Amino acid sequence: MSAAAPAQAMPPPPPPPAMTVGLVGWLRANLFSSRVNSALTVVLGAVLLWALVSLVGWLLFAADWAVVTTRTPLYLVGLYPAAEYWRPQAALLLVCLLLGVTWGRWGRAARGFALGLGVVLLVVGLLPHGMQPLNRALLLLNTAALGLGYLLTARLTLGRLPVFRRVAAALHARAARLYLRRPNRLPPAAWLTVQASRLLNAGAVGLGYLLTAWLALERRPWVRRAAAMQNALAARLALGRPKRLAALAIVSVIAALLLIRGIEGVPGLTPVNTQDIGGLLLNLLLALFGIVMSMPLGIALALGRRSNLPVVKMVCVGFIELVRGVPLITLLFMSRHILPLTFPANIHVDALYLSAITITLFSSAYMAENVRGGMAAVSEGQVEAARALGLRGWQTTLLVTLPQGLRNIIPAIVGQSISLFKDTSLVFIIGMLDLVEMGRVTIQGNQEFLDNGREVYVFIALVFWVFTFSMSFVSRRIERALGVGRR
Amino acid sequence: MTPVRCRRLLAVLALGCAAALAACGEAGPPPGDAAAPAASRLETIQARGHLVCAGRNDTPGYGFVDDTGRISGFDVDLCRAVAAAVFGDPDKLELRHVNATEMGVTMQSGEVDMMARAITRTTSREAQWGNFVITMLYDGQGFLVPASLGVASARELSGAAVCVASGTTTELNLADFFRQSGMAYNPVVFEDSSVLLDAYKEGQCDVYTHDRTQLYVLRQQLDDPNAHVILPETISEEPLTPIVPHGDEQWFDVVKTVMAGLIYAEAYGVHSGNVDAMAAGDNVKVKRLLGAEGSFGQETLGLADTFMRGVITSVGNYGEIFDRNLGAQGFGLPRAGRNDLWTNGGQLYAPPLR
Amino acid sequence: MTRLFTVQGVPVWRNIVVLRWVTQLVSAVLVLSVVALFFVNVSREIEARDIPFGFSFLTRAAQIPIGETVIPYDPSDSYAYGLLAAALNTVKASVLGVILATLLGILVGVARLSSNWLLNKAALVYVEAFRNTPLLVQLLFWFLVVLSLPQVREGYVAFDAVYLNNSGFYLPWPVPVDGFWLWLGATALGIAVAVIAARHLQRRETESGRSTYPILTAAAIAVVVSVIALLVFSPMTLDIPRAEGRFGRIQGGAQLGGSFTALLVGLVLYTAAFIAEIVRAGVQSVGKGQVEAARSSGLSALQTLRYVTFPQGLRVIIPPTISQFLNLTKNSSLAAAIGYPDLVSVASTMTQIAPAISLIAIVMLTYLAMSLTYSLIGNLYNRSIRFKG
Repeated sequence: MSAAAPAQAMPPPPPPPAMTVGLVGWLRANLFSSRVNSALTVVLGAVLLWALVSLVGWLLFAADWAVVTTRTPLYLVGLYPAAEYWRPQAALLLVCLLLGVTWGRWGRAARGFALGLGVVLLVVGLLPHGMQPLNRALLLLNTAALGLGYLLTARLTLGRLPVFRRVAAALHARAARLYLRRPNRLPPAAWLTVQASRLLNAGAVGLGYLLTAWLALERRPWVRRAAAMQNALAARLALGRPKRLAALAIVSVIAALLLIRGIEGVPGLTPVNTQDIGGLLLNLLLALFGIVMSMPLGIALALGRRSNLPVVKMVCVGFIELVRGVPLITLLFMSRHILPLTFPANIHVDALYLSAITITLFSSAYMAENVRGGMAAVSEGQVEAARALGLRGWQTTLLVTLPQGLRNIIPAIVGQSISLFKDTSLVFIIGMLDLVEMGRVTIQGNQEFLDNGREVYVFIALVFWVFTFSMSFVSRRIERALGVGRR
Repeated sequence: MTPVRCRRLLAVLALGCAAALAACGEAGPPPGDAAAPAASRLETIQARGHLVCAGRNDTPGYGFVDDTGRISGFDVDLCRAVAAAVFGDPDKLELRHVNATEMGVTMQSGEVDMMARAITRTTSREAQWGNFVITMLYDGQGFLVPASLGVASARELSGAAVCVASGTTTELNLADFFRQSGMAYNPVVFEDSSVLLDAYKEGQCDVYTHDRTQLYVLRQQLDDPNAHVILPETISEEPLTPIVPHGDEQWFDVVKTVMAGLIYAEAYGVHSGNVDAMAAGDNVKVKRLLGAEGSFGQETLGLADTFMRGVITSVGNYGEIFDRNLGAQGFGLPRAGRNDLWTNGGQLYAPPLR
Repeated sequence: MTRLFTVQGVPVWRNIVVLRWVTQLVSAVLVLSVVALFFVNVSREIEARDIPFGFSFLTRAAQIPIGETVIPYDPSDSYAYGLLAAALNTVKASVLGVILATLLGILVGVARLSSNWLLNKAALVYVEAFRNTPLLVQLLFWFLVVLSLPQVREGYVAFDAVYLNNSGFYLPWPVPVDGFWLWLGATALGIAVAVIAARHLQRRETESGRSTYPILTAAAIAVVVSVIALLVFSPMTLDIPRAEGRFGRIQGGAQLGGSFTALLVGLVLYTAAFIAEIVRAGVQSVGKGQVEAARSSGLSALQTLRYVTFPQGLRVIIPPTISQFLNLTKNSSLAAAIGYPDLVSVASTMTQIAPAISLIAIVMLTYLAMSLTYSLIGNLYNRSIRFKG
């Protein structure tokens, strides 16, 4: 080589030693990093393998799942009259639609949840068990509803471009207004608007939307009015802010609850005896009510405890400590048998409502402590800055301390919600047939199932686990979205 | 100067609040009182649209959730009979499961209209809980043991572990019996009968003690009923009787009459299949029972003259109820003995329908 | 006249002092009237419906059997004594549960921090499985597992002294006899000497810088003194469990009944899952710099945990752990479902004859007392760990 030749090109870096990369490297780093670790891995691996093999063997071969499969509806809805099964089904459909909309609107956090629910529904709908084919079909319809909800929102926003969103929304709103103003004659302008909105949407919108467009051309006024309503709704969704979505959520949840409970005097919706609402449905209803209501109550109690008014503070502290100090089952017993004594004799208070309120109060005391902890963690500087900006005491609390405090405790809130959901299984103490109690009753009441306790409890534990695990999953997504721990 | 005024003002305020508190205290109670001169329980039930009956949902034969998701059993049928008497429809019924330990408070608070839950009539319960109507099942506490233990008498049970349900007279009788006999025993106490049966089945206890009819039903549920024997001793008296809350004589009479009607329907040979034929027949007692002729007090009770027709058509007579749930079509519990009609030498007897 | 409605020149309705007083008075009045209404109504109903209430029953004979007790109990004992026995059963379950759950929780928490992938994930699966399912279901499941052990007459026996079957676990247990107090005194003396020695050695170590093994020496002194006293006074005999009667039930010794075992296993596994997460979060809350500094000064991963991160994390770990202890105690009330005679279970049984309202009130007060004790411990701890200086 001549001297003029550039210095030899750097030799390629030598490959890392085979022991540090690839599968072998991973194994070395994570399982066999030292002698102790290797021994641990081998022993633990053997134990786990044995456990896994015997578990799977039991699940697939030894266990007799007839106790679960032949009585599926009872586990799901308790003693709900069989002729009315369509109502919880329809309620579920509403919830699925809502979840689909949330997924379309909100993306990532809801997607995993929606997809998970879809899979669960598919599995329940397709596995062999003693559910009527009609109910099974309805159950499968829910997966479609999830997709429909997603399509409805996702496509309305047209690729999430604000311009399109706004145009679509404006057109919808205009159409709606025009219909309502002139219900009988369709002016050309309205027709054009309708067509425009239809064109804009029809291609992508899916079944629900085509239906609207068709309805819009109907001549009967009430149909048109309905179409107008739907157009208005679509307009709102297209422009949808979280506030609107929340309103939609509240409306559909209330509709679902009414469907399940029934309305006096409406044919087909005869009220169902609350004692007959049982199984998983009962656990879910109690948990939903408890979670929704214990949050504001807990915040109020926490603010009361932080208050500098001694009386208010004393009352809140007293309530919190009293409730936290006793087991939930004694509170449930009290509320079932002692509390009704304070009502006038003719008022018949339902065990369902009483237990829902008791669970809520119980949970709110814990929630209050969480909120207090979160607010205490907000740094003093924030408060001082707020005061320096001229905010009043309550403004500082509501606008600065509380929001930051709540953000701090998302995991704690979700943890509390999970405990609340698990605690709904304690209503057995006042004779309500929730999922767990239904399992016990099934074993006891049927000679052929006397030996199937393990199957029942494993099944019930799995059902609870699916729900609680999804709750903590969603919480982690929210936490990430809000950037907790990264600021 | 100003602090004084401030203090005076506070004093005024405090006085005002105290007055308000007093007003509150006075205004508080009335709502309850105002509603108190209320309708009779029967009217309340009719206005509510269904009967609230306490029972069980976990005891085969007496009240349990069957495959179709309905609660059925002997006790449940008694409730259904009363619902049929009041509404003509046995399904206008809210069945509330109460645990053994809830029985007392449930009756005392008057939150249910009646309770049929194989509950033993005792003097102290009668005094504290409510009015017992007519005894529908005569029972006594016995012992169930695996035949393999070779026990022939309850006197040989010294040192045994005994399974017993908590919160029942059974538990108290058991303690009495062993103390009286000077024998030691290990009580294995559970609140829940499903757990109890498991514990017995798996040998955590050697003996299961309960009312004999229930032991019979339990034995039928075990894998091999013949491998278990019920010992001959009966250590207690258990007249199992539905109960209604204290404080409403009319309602007490209604339930009593329905129960009597069930018993007499069997005695007269009226069953769910021949109600109309019997009503058209010529037996005066039967015609009175079915409201075709004469009366046994229906009007005073506030019930329809023909209410027993609805009851028997939909629920059946006592014999049908017994057979369906406990006897021939249920668990094969023999009827002969005390639970037979008085006409057959049993103890089942009720005030005549006149 | 208008001046009457001003305080220091500010109208009353805008004066902060007045407003605060009014708010407080109004809320006090509201709360008091609700509480008063509750009690007035309840007492009126209790009277009107002849609902038994009162505490005179406490001195009567309880007449109910209690399966297993810490203190000797007979059905002819009074209700009050029966309730005490039951409360002690609750205390027994919760104290044992708290100790075992703490140990297991720390172990699993440390496993969650392990670099060993398998151990880490196994711990994760355990935590997620047990934290996310209702305790009631777990208890019922464990009860079935205990039931599937062999029956008492076919159970496992070791050395004719240790028995394991589905009725329970039986161990020989020392029973104090005559010399017990002498022995206890001697042991106390030994411990006192050991403490003094430890202090002395500790000072020497700090002064000279040489290891003097203060803890080890002290422990050795205490043990040696105690053992010598044990040989001299022979203060205890061993109560050896034995099978008795035609049913072969085990009598004597220390026994953990089947239901108690199921309860303990359930409570410990459930609570330990929560404690494990608390421990993990606590250790991870210690600044990264601390770990790096420790590792670069040559401590191993385990040593770092033992001497650096865990002690610092304790500040974060202890308060939530104490509330878990409280939860465990309250959760032990589920014992009724699997037949362990805890306070709630025995009180429910007593409702047969005794007034239910009074009993429930007693139960609630007892739990409140326990929870206040825990709160007190928590507060004392919080005060002791406050950063000083």
